[in-house]
Amino acid sequence: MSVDNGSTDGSEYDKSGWRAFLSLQYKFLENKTTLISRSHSGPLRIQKVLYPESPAICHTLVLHPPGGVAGGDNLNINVDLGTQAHVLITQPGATKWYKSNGLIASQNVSIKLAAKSVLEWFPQESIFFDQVKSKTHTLIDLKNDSSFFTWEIYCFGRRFSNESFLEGRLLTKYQIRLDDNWLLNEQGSFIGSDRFMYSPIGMANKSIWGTFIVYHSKISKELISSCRDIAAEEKLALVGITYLNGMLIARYLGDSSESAKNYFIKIWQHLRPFLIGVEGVIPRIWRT
Amino acid sequence: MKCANTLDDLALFKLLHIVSPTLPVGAFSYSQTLEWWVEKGLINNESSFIDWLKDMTLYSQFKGDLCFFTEAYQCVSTGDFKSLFDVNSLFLSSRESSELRAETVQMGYSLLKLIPEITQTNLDELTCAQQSFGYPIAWALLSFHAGVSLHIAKKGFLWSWLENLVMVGVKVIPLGQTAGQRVLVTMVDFLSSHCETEVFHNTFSPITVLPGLAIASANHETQYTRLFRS
Repeated sequence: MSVDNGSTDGSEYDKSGWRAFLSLQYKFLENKTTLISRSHSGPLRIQKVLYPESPAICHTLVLHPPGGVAGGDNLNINVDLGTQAHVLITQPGATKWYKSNGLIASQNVSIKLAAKSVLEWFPQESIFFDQVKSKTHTLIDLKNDSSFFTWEIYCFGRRFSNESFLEGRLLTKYQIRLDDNWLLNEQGSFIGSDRFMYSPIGMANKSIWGTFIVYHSKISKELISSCRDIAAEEKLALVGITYLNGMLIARYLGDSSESAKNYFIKIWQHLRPFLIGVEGVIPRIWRT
Repeated sequence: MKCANTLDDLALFKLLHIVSPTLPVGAFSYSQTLEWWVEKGLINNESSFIDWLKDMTLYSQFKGDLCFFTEAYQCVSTGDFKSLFDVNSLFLSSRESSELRAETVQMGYSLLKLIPEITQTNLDELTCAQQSFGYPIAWALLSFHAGVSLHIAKKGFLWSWLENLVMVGVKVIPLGQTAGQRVLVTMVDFLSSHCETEVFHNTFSPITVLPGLAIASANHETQYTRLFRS
């Protein structure tokens, strides 16, 4: 089945756009998770590798292109975790996707987790400007006993500049696979001019859409119930938690990306001690 | 463009059999979140119900389930079971919530069991290879083996989906029987106008992210008073 959900008109891709590439490979050796190989080209790079919790958990700060993503740009991120490696990857700031010059900006993320590895993948929010043309594809490959924590937060338009997402365009494909079985297949089409943006079953006139996902063998319906007591700061936001294919999925539909992130952080802090036996200590970069 | 497909009598009667609400697949147990919207007061009369049904038709059916249906039907008609399993797996993993997944799995299971009875087709080989089939996938299998063409099968699928949801609406909003019939009349016009556009004959990929529906469904799971399983 075709799972390509974007325009295939090649003319919208610019061969001269900024192509950025980052590939990270981690291994667990002598009780320490080590970044054993990294390669990058273009403006994507690692800002810092640090161990604020223990040598077992490697925190990595990934820096997106300074100034954001423009039409024709293509970002590629590959992350590969060896057996027992435990990594938390985040970013210092939001990724801005600018108004298009006619070309499509795209991002491909590919993540592979080996047995017993743990990845906490927390990119900051993506801000899609009006008139953006963008496309993202994320593919996560899990093993039965690997663990994965993540969120995706999309902001449509810039609320503080009174900019709506009237003519923007974002196509997303977010897929999680366990061995050869699909666990999650989310194909989104966020088109500013489409009725979808104000339909109650679509974006319901909200500007922020966030999804928080945890895959872990110890996720249970009881644990999920306990997360339902967690409330969002933004009173008018709509939130919901469900259990699907061994994953906890929490969703946020509202107008404050700060509130979305804080809601997900609270769930993460609640789950982390149960699932991986460590406190959910907020990385310093999230506080700045 | 009018759809020129015709049906022989046997296929026609089989289609009428398949779309009948008496088909024991349990559709009447599911509201596809409608019960939640009613509980929140967001759907409370004929016109708010019609608005919701139109959006559901457009996004959850035309741009959602029917895309998978089409793919599945084409796989069945070419005997490509490997691709059929992949379509099925992508469909099942694109359900927004626990309840919506359980709904399609249960109805798919019940429908699959009827295929040998209705069409005299042996599906043992198929059902041994794959445990769960989504409802639209099972529907595609059934309609193909019943001799119904793809375009007519899709319309049958849509009708049976619509009729069931309208019956749910009549019960849960509630609406009178006559109001329910008026909703069907309006929706039939809506469906037929869309069946002549590219959204019906789509060749594009499905949309499987419906934020409002996903949240409604997650919250229906913990709704205090409920008659329906989704």
